[in-house]
Order: sequence, then C-alpha cells, then structure tokens
Amino acid sequence: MVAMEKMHDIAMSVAKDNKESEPNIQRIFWFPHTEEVRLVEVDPEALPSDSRIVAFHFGPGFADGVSIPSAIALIRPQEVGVVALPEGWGSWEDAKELQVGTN
Amino acid sequence: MVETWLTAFAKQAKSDWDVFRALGTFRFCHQLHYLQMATEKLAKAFLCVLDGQRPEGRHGAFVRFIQHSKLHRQVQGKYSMSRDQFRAFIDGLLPTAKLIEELAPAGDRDKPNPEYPWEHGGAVISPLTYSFATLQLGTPKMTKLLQFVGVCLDLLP
Repeated sequence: MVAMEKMHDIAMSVAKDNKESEPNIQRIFWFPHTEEVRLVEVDPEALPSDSRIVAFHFGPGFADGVSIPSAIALIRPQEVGVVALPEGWGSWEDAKELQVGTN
Repeated sequence: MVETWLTAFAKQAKSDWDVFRALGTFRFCHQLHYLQMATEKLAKAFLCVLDGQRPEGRHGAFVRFIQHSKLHRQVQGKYSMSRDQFRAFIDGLLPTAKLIEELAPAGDRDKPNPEYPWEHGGAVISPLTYSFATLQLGTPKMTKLLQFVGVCLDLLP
C-alpha cells in the first residue's frame, strides 16, 4: 500500500505521460486508491461507453520508475459525471481532476 | 498456482493465438475465427482487475483495447518510435481491428462471419467459400496488427 500523497504524484506522472501520448485528451480525472492509479481520461475520439465505463488494467514496470499498476478508461466529454464508473471506483464526487496542461 | 480471471483469459487468448497460427493449411475462415477469439480474449485479459473480478461479458473489447493501448507504456516500450509515431501507428491499427472485431457473429445473422452461413441477396453463403478480402493476412496493415497482438500477448502472465 502506498501513501495517498505518493499515489497522487504517480497519478500525475501517468496523466502527464498520457496527455503527451494522446494530445486529444481534454481532461483527466483521478479516482484515489492506494494500490492502483485509476484514471478516467476525456477524449472526444473515444468509443462511446455503454452502461458503464470500461477501464483497462496495465501492469507495473513502467520505464520511468513508476511501479504501480494503472487502470485507465477513455470516455467522451458528454459522459463526464454521467456514465457509471467501474465497480469499486466510488462515485464521480470522489474524482479529483488533474491539471496536466494543454497543448 | 491459483487460477484467476486474468490468468485464465490470458491462457485462453494465448491458446487461441497458437491455434490461429497453426491453422495455415485449413480454410481461411477457421483462421479468422481463432484470430477473432484470440483478440477478444486478449482485450478481456487487460480488462481483468487485480482483485480478481470477472470482466464484463460483452463483445467488442478489442477495438477499445487498441485505442487504450496508445497509453500503455509497456507496449510503447516495445516499439522504437516517438510518441507521435506510436500514436499514429496505433490509430492505423484501428480499422483492421474493427474488421476483426466485427467477425463475431453476434447481432446481425446475415453478415459475413467465419463461423455460420449467412444469406445475401437471396443466396446462402458459407464462410468456407467467402474470400474475406479485407482481412487477408499478408497485407502490411494486417501484418502490423498481428505483430502488435503478439507483443501484447507477451505482456500477459
């Protein structure tokens, strides 16, 4: 288990990296968790969600030293705050929007 | 070793992939059938959470997985590309991935698929005799996609 402050730093690192990988990402929401970085990222080109957000789980071992697994979901802008979160992620009120800058 | 949803989906995906690669001398539809199943289970494996919950059973995970994979640093690390190049590479895989995903016979009964006969314009068509021209394995786009699937399968336990 990792302290939440450290998890926030790791989440920011992953979020920045994702924003650099996909400039179309407009907003990134972090759902705090002590064992996994959970991010919902808003991309207008994402496939529409069905009844619930689909998050893919990527294992640890990232090249920049981040060794926490991550779960990432891409959603469309109109789905923010509306579509159901993955099981166990809490509610949209638990989300913290990460400011990673814009290109 | 205790089986989890992750290890079970990974195992099934890899086995389907092995069968796909072994079916070269059989009719093309059989190869495509196993390719579609391998790619769907590959995506489902990446949907499995650490605490072992079962991934949702719906079809259509593969294209979504491909789209998410541009954010996957382990996959990125396997390719000697800039971020922009990798993003373009992944985007370039999507049309072929969609064609593979659409091979699943769910929904419309009268569409080309590698498993069941369908009807078109009053004629009954067998997958055995259908060309699946847009999914030929030797094309550059398909080759890139197949290599990508292999890379992702290697990342699974």
